[in-house]
This record gives sequence, C-alpha cells and structure tokens, in this order.
Amino acid sequence: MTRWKLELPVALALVLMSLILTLSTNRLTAIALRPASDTPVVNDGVWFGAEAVDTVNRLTVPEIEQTQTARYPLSALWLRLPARLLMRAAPALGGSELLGYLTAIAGAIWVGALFLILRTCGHGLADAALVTLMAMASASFVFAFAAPSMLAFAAVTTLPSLTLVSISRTRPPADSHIVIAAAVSAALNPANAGFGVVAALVLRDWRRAVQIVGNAVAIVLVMWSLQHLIFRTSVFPLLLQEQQAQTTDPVTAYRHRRVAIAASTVMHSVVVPGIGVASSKGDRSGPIVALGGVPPGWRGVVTVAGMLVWTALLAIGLWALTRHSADTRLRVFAWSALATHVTLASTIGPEPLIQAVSILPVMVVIAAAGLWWRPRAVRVLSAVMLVLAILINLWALRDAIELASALTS
Amino acid sequence: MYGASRIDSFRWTAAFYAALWSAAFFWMLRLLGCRLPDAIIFTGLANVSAAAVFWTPVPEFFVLGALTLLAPLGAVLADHAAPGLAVRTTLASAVSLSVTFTNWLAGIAAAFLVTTRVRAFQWSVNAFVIVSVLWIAQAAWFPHAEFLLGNARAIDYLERLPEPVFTEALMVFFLHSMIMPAVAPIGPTEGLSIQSVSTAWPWSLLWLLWLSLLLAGSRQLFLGPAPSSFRVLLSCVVAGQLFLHLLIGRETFLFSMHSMPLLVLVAACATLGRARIVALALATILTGGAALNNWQQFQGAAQHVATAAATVVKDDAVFTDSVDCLSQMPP
Repeated sequence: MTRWKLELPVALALVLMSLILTLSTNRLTAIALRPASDTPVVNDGVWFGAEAVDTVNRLTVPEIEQTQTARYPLSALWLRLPARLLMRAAPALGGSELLGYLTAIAGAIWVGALFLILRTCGHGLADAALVTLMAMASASFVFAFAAPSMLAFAAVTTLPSLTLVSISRTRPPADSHIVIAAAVSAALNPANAGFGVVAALVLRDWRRAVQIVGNAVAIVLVMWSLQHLIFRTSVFPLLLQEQQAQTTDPVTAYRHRRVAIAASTVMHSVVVPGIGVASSKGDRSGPIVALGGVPPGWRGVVTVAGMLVWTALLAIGLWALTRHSADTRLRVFAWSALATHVTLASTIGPEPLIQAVSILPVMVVIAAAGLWWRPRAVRVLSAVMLVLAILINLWALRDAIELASALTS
Repeated sequence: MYGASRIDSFRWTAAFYAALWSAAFFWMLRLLGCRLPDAIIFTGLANVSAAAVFWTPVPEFFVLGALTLLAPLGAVLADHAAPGLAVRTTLASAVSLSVTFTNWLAGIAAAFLVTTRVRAFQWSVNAFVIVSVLWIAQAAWFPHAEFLLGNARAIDYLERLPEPVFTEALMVFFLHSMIMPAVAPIGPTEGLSIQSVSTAWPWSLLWLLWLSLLLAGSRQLFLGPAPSSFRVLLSCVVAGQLFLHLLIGRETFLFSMHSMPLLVLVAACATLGRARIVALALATILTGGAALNNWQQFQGAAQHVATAAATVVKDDAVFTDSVDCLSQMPP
C-alpha cells in the first residue's frame, strides 16, 4: 500500500524532471539552430540530422506543404493539427517555442511510460526510478529531445508495443490493444513499425499476428486518408523520391560503415564518445553535428568508463534475460526489436543517435533485467552510469550547441 | 504486339476486357441456374445493350468496373453451393474495390450476407488491406497515382455536381442503358447527351419489351428459386446503383455500364420460372431490336464525335475525356 502511495509522486517527479531538462535544452538549442527568426537556415540537418527548423515550419507555418508525411505518415494529423489549434488558442506563442513545449511533453510521456514499463516488468519502485533516471540522462534522450524533430515524437510511438509485452506477464492483452499499439508504432515513423509487428508475433500465433498487423495497416491508411482530406498536400508514405534517396544514399562519410553504425546505436546511445562534424547531403547540404566518429571514438577516461559500465549493464541484462527470465515473450521481443532496429538503423544511416531514442527503452529494459540476477551489482552500476551519463552528456551537449552555433551562423 | 500504336493497343485491351466481362456474365447466369441457351441469349442481350455498345469501345474504366462488380455476386452464388470460404468472399470484396470505390459496397454487402457481422467486418478490412498493398506496389511504377481513400478531387467533383433531375435519371437508368434513343449533340463542336432526350414510338416499343422482361424477372427474383442471399445482394446493389445515379445528376449514362448488367441479371431470373419460353422469346426479340437500334445510334454518335474532334479538340466534349480515341475510330 505504501508503495502504491509512493508510485504516483515518484512518477510525477520523474515527469517533472524530464520537463525541466527538455525545456532547458530546447531553449539552448533554439538559439543555436535558429540564430534569428528571419535567417534562412540552409543546413537544417545540423543537429544530428534531426531537421529541427523544417519540423517547426512543417508543423506550425500556415499553408506549408505537408510532404514530410512521406517519411512520417500521420505527422500532419497527429502533430500539425494540434500545433495549429494551440497556436490559434495562444497566438502570442511562436512556432519554435510551441514545438519546444510539445517536444518536452513528448519527452515527459516517454519518461513516464518507461517508468510504467519497468514497474510492470516487476522491478521495485526505487530500481525503476533509478533506471528511468539513467535513461533520462542518456545521450539519446538528451540530444533527441533537445530540439524539435519528428524522430523524437516518433520515439514515443514504440512504447505502447513494449508496454503490452511487459503487461502480458500478468494480464494478456486483447487483440484490439495489440492492433492499436501496432498502428501507433507505424504512425509517425514506418521504421518503428517493426515494434508493432514483433509485439503481435510475440503475443499471438503467426496467423493471428498477420491479421493484427493487417488491421493496424488498415487503421493507418484510413487515418492517412482522413489526413489527406484535411491536408491535401500530404504525400503517401514511402512514395517520395527524397525518401528513396535517403535510404539508398547514406552520408558519404559513413558509407560502407554499417557495422560501425550498428555498434554506435547500441554503444553510444547512453554515453556519447565525443561530438564532431560530419558531411551531409541533399538539398540541406552542409556539415552536421554528429557523434565523434561512429566507430567507438574514445575520448577521455570518463567516457571510457561510461562506455564500459553501459556495456557491462547490457551484458548482465542480456545474460539475465536469456538465462534467468521466466518471461519468454519479453525476451523474444527485446531481442527481435533490437535486431530489427539495429538492422534498419545501419541501413538507413547515417546518424544513429537521434534514431536510437526509439530503441532505447528496449535497451533499458534489457539492462534492467540484470536486476533479476545480480540486483546489488546492477544497482551500483546503474547509479555509477547515471552519474557518468550526466557528466559526459551534459559536457557533450555544451560542445554540440557550440558546434551547431558555429555551423548555422 | 510490340510496336502497336496507342490506339491499337487500346483496342486490344478493350476487346480483351469486354470478352472477359462477357464470359464472367455468362458464368454468372449459369451459377444462377439459367440453362445453357438461356445464358447465351441473355449474355447476348447484355452485349448488345446501349451501355455495352457505347462503353466497350472507349478508353474508360466502366467495363472493368462492371467486371469487378460481378465478383461479389458470383461469390454469394458460389457460397450458396459451398458455404463459409473466407478467402473467396474476401478476394471478391477486394476485386470489387479494385477499380471503382463505390462498387466495394457490393463486396461489403456480400460479406455481411454470407457470414456473421464481426467476420464480415474483418473480411472487408482484409480486402481493403489487400487492395492497398497492391496499390502501393502499383505506385512504385506510377508514382502520381492517388490513393483510393481521401481523394480530394472526388470530393471536389461531388461538390460541383448539378442538381439531379430524378425523372431523367430514372429514364436513363432503366430504359436508355438498354435501348439508346436518338443521341442529342449539345452543339456542333460539343459533346453528346441523352440525359434530357424526349421519347418516341420506335424506341418506346423496345422499351416496353424490356420493361416487361424486367418486371417478369423481378417477380421471379423474389418469388423464384434464386438463393435468398443473392436476391438480397442483387436488390441492394441495384438500389445502391440507382441511388448513386440519382445523386450524380450530370450524365447518368456515364455509369450505365455498371447498372445495366445487373438489370439484365434481374431480367434473366424470368427464365427460372414457368414462363421461361415467353421470357426467352421476349429476350430474343429484344436482343435483335437492341442490336439494330444501338449499332445505328452508335454509328451516328461516332460520326458526330469525329466531326467535332476535327473541328476542335476539346477533351470534355463528350461524356468522358476519351474523345481522342473515339474520334480515330471508323464511323
């Protein structure tokens, strides 16, 4: 009873901390990414390829084409519509400021949902809070939610699938819930659809899973059609030439380095090895702020320590999940989702840091699984990881903002 | 066939789909329980109807639409013989959706007639997903294709529709789609229309024959041996088509290729009862009369369109935007 009484305050405290963190970082990056409101930004993908200015424009500027729906299928319906309504309700609010708030809200939902998932996985209140804090201090979270981007919003859509798999330990979910979770996973980023598909396959036999995925596809298509009636310039998902070009022509600097990108997705999503500059491509050509060399680019003793602790946490968690967890569904889901995401990330490329925020909850759940096997060791490692992540990532954030300012000015 | 001109390649394609539609219609009559000679005569009647004579030679989607509209009806008849096959009904529903969105109502209705509501809903969703996946594959070759739902142009089209005149629409739906009256050119270089054409005796006689056959068939459809699910579906689809024709009041004949075969199916039910011989006699006379009349009217219409196209090429001059193709055909 006492635990349940503490549950809500702890969750609220985590959400509040997340809001403070993301609102602060958003203010800092807003200055760096858009020095003056009337300055045309040529190099929009400067923030780890996140296209922050384009996101703000697409979601807030009146009469702008909604061609981003080719890559983010329901972004106009789910994000632009509420953003425009909010702008009408509060006309004094600027587009960039509003998107900063929306990004912070998305970050808060991400944190709250992750805490819930960890609790439903069976972790204690303190353990769940500690691991959630660690995730909140991770590089992916800090950098993804520091600037408005579709990928940050899309990161939230993977959580319903993970929630259902974790809840299934105690309460089997209904078919309709899996359908909705699968539809949500594909709604903002088709690359995240794998989460819904894997959840359906894990929770049901393959025939039923195919039916569930089919229903989810139907929901997304009907919603896209509704969106197309409201926003007539919206483009059908995956049909824009730009989208094909992106998947077939990764950034020159990272070409043929898929293994390095895959390794970076797993290794650098919690602590960044360092911040550097890489070349970009396309109409938003120009250098972008990126991880300091995608293959583990060790920079300093603290960074090395952070990487080692995260690797240890993941290794212990994977071992515990494979050998000691009674929950086969969670194990299969975690492995499959991780494999799917890493494969996609290394195919799509080039900058894995922002995209990794979608898979981070799964990696955190894997790391937290170590608590079932060696609780004390994992608690200590998590606490150390939290401190190191705060130190390393805030330091890297300062570097990234300086670099971004230099590149956009 | 490589190296054929655009018009020749169209002719071959149109002939192929017209033949496919005829074969499907014949198969439908046989499934319904019509005897071989009856099915041959009524297939002939459908082929010489005004709708078939005027729409099979032009580059439009109406023949394909008519073909896909037969799939749910066939599925319901097949289900009567071997019930409960989900794949068959789902595929029939997908086929009905594949060319014209409004035809999907027949596919949905067919599913609801042969199974429970929950299953029917699921089968309809599956049909939608199948067509959507095929559409996505199609979009890889034709990137400018619009998705079947959320088509803003269709909404614009519906918003700009003129006020329908019910009597004219009813006349075209029930009578002119079988027996073509004198086609009225709107102007020397403009298109053709039969929407507000006045009736005259030579056609009235054939219309009377057709109406008698239609009434006899309707009676037999409801009182005869046709499966109840087919009876309900055919009635619903005819009523649905009629509603659409009344709603879209521009040129009812434009969509007659979808509705006319359904009416011939209703008429063919007359052969399932005691008055089979009378029905066959009426149908034979009507087939001959319709063939002569409709061919004559078609020649006149083609001549007019060729003249109009020579004067000025205006894509919306005829019922459809197919003037280029039609004008190149021999009168």
